[in-house]
Amino acid sequence: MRMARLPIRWATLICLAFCGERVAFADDVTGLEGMLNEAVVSSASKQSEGASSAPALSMSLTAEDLRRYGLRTLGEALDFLSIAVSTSDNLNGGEVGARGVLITGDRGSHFLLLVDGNIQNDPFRGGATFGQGAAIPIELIDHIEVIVGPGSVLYGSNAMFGLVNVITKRAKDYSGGHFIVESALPTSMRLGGGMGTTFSLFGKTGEATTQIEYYKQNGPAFFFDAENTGVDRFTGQPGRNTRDGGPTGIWGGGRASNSLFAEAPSGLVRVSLGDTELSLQGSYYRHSAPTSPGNFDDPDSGEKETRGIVGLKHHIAVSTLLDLSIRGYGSYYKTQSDFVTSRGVLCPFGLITCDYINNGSANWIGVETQSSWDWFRDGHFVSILGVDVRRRAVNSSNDTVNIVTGTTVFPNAQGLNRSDIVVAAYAQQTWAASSTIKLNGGARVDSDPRFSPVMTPRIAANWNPWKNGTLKVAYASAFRAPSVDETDNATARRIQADHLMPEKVQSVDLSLQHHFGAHQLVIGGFYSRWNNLVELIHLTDQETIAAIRNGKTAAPFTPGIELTQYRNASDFNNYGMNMGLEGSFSSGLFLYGFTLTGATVRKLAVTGSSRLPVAPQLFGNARVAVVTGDKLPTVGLGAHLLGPRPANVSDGQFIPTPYAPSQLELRLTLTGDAPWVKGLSYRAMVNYAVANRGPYVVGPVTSAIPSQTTPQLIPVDRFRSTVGFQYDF
Amino acid sequence: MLALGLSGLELSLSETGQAQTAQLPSPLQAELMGKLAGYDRNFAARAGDKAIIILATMPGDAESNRAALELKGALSRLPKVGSLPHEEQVVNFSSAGALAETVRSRKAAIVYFGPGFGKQIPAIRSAFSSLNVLTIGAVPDYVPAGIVLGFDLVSGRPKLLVNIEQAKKQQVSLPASVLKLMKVYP
Repeated sequence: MRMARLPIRWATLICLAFCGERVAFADDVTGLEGMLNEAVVSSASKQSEGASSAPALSMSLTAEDLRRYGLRTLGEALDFLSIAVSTSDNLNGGEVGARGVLITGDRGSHFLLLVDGNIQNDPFRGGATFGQGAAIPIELIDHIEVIVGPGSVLYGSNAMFGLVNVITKRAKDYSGGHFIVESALPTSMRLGGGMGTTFSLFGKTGEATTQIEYYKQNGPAFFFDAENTGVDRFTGQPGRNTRDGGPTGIWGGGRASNSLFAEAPSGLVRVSLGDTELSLQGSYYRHSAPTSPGNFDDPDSGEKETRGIVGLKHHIAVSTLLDLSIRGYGSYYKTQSDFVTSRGVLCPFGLITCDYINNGSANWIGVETQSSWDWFRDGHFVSILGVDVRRRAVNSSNDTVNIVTGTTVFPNAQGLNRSDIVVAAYAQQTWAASSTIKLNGGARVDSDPRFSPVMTPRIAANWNPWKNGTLKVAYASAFRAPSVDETDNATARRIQADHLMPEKVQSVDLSLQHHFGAHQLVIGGFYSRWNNLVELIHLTDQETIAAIRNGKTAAPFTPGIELTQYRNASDFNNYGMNMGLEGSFSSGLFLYGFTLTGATVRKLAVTGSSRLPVAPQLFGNARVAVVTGDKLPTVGLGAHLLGPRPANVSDGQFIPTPYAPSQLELRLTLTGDAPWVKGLSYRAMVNYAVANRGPYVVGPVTSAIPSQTTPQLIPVDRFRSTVGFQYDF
Repeated sequence: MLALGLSGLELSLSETGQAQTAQLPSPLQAELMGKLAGYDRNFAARAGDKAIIILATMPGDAESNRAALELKGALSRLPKVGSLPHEEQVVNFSSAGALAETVRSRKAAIVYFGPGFGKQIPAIRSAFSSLNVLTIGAVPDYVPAGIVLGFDLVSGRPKLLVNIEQAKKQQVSLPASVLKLMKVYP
């Protein structure tokens, strides 16, 4: 009987949509709906403003959308909701890019990731994680501000693609206790507990929100085709690709059931009292993927990362003219990576298995003060001045051991033990020149003892040529200071860099935004110039011999030895267009949105130009949802599209150049309140990916050799269902 | 037991209100104010030829003063509020009764309260209950405590709040289609 009624209820809903639309126009609330749909952002100019007024392409991804479209990580949120930003799944936390640029292997260091204004990029390599290792509980997210385009003017290093600022929920929106369990059957499980409350202390009002969670993933156990590594240049026999296997020369040829895993306990606490706010974050992330060129399916290859972040800020409204804020912050990061290999060319010490261990730890502690001057006391001409002083310390060590005996097999490269102080100052002027024109200009200077000071200016103008329309034009720049690991460190297989320079990007953006009723359209174009991109370069045989002769590595010379070095290796131009449309019908009963970005990137080299590996030139997303707000579940359908992408090894290593096919990922999500228990809600997702391969060459064969002329691309987890429950009490 | 403890803690502690509640930017508050006033069926009759908007400030509270001045600036860039020309007047708060008298004497159509009025809202509710005026608060906690309309920021989007009982007392009448977009406090 109940089943028989369902089609009638859905038909009623569809009818209501159109009826409701007529009512809406009759009462003319669509304009009000449009104003309520306007995102409010504060990251682009460090002032609260409508996204259409911000001096850069800005958007806000809402908590409701994260839930109704079944999104579990920051990366998924960017893929399914954001304009001009996309991630690429490497089975090991993912990589992120924007506007057709993705720097593979950058560990997310070209985006600046913030949580409540606290920098998440680690102090060792500047990396930021957008997958499960980000340790940001999805239920605690109020919204995610995404600012696309160079953003160093107020934030300094790393904001080359832009910045992502995750704003966590206030206690009023996360009050009481919460218990969460979610599983992507049968590979992963996430357990979490959180709470939010308000309190009074010393006559001041305060609030606290927190969530701790534990995530564990095992698998899926992908099948990898056999790769024939041929004759080992060191042993003269076929290579060994497992610890116990003989010299077969074969890598893969079976399921990798031991080496795709992740484990991530984490916690986040935010406490505020009056005008003071304290944030604490801690996480541990152990992860591995069966894709490395070392031993096949070895569970000891992988990485362990530990993070701790603290931020304490205080705001003082001195007068109607002056606002002051001071922020003390600290960050601690520790990493250990293990690379296990038995092949003689990589472990040239007899018939043993080597474990290349790289350890790094870094921390920083700093103070940022900022003053805001509202010269005419009405918000139309405001100056912001800020100073940021940070002390940074970095340590590293590395070792190469026989994994069975634990003994060191050759002298280690000298590790790092250094500390320094970096200082930055910035200024920004905003001017609402008239009711239709708003100007924004600013610059920041960052002083790092490793480089000459770097200046990153921005100038932007907004013009409202007609009602609800905004035309934006902006010039912005950004830089990334190479990490201390890149500039100063050496490992067993990597020699120290020579005089690395900061990476830089300059961009000109033009966009048009228009609101009509409850709908918003944005369309824009951009041109960017990127310089001094840092890449890990494989040394030529001559360079390798010279490095060994000059004592730049402790590795002994063996036939086939491969060394690497970080270099400012490339420049490129990037231009394209993006567009987005989103809105609602029938007072929010039906929601929709889609975005599309088309971009061209040409990497410049002496021999010509080429496409940037892994980066899609065409990508976007689309979504629709029916929000009943009744006993019926909310139904959300999201799609993420990626055009064909050259693989990460696409510089002539294979003929023809390997490409990952276009990818379309679809996700259907049902969310709602469970009818049988008060406070219990559910979320169920089904995810389907059309293509079965991604843009990464896996295994040891990274260039064509006589025994293996074709590459193997990374597999994709094509079908996965996830079920989650949340109990609020 | 834990649930009971947590909810008890919240009940006993939340009377003091929220700390550091994010506010909408002034230009957006001004636009919403201008739009919402037009939906109030009694607004035109209340305002007459020109809408007088009182921006209340708490003496000695820099944030309160700044919010009022910024909103004044933002409103000055709006040609109409609820289809009417408008005039903004900044008034220092001394007591709820005195402010109510000011509203009466100046025939104000809208009174706006920025930050800093948390403890005064119950008194303002009592003093304004017999007035024909639209009260608007920048802080979401003001609405359940007795301000007719309020602004909140949830998930990075503006939200509207309404105290329906206080709206009736102050002769503010909004159509159902608008109330549907608001969080309604009975």
